[in-house]
Amino acid sequence: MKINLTHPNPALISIIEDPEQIITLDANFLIAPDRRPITKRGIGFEQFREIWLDPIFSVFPNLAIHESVYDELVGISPQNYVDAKRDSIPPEIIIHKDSSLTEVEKILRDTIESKIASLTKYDPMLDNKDDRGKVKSLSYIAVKGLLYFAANDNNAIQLIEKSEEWSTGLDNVQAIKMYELIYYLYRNDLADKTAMKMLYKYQYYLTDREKSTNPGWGDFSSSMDSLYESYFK
Amino acid sequence: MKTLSTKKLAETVRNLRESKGFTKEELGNLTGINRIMIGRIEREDFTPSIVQFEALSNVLGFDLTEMFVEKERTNSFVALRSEALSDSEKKGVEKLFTMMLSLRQQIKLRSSFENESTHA
Repeated sequence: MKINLTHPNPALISIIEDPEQIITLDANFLIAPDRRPITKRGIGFEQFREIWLDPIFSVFPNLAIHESVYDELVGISPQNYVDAKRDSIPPEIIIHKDSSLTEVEKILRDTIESKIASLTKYDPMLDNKDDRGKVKSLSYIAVKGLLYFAANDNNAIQLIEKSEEWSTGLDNVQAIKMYELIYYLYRNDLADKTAMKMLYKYQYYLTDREKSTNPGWGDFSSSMDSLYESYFK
Repeated sequence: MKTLSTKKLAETVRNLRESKGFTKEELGNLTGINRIMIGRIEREDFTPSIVQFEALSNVLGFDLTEMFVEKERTNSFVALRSEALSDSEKKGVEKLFTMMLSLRQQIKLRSSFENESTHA
């Protein structure tokens, strides 16, 4: 995925100013990335939990997922993690459920879902698994007027960022990328700094192509400082 | 299946806004919707959230449900699904769906990118 450092992201600025807003997560925020065989090294779920999941759930108290994303969580560990967050008192994760939609909201949801779906591998009539979580999450939050969708998937981000040109119906939604939250945690000393560098490198600076298009950690971090320094108190 | 008719919504918002003498900016202030978005609703180019939809309905005085139309659901893929299929045939059909939907996505994305560069 390409790192974009041309302009500050208004969504990240808003989160810097108020980290307690609801942020809906795509499945890839909860699944340990595995880029083998590009690299020999994988990241196990326990390590991912320690360096990424625990920090984000501790820093952002209103993280959410759509119920369909739960079904996309591969393996028992991420599901158990979400189960524990959901069952904790008070709950530490918000689960968006389609059953909470009113009849009018369902019609709006179906309208937006059909617009989004044609640009993905999901078909609402087939209700197939491909891209299901992404389409269901985006159409739900668009109807409810929720603002932020955090993803590490180029297609999902484009559906939001090109909403006007592509008429996806997601004009009210804003995308937050994983690298922006990696920077947020690093900048505020809210996670292990070495682990944040490692996660950035693993996700965005591994292949020759990524090394030719994306900045190394030093340049990334200083460019992000230039874009966002004035917004941190 | 019911869906929102952006055409009906556009006509309703424009007609009621003009009959009440509101500019797009004034309607925007009353509903909390940006005036540019009001313009896009009137051009059938914006699907509002539930909060925006209800605000428009309250300020302009129209029934939300009148903006919906029945849309026939047709899908050529569904015809391929049959309970009579064996497990291995079902697996094959699912694989076929994945390939066809990937192709559909690529065609649609390519056309969206081409439209963008034409209008740039």
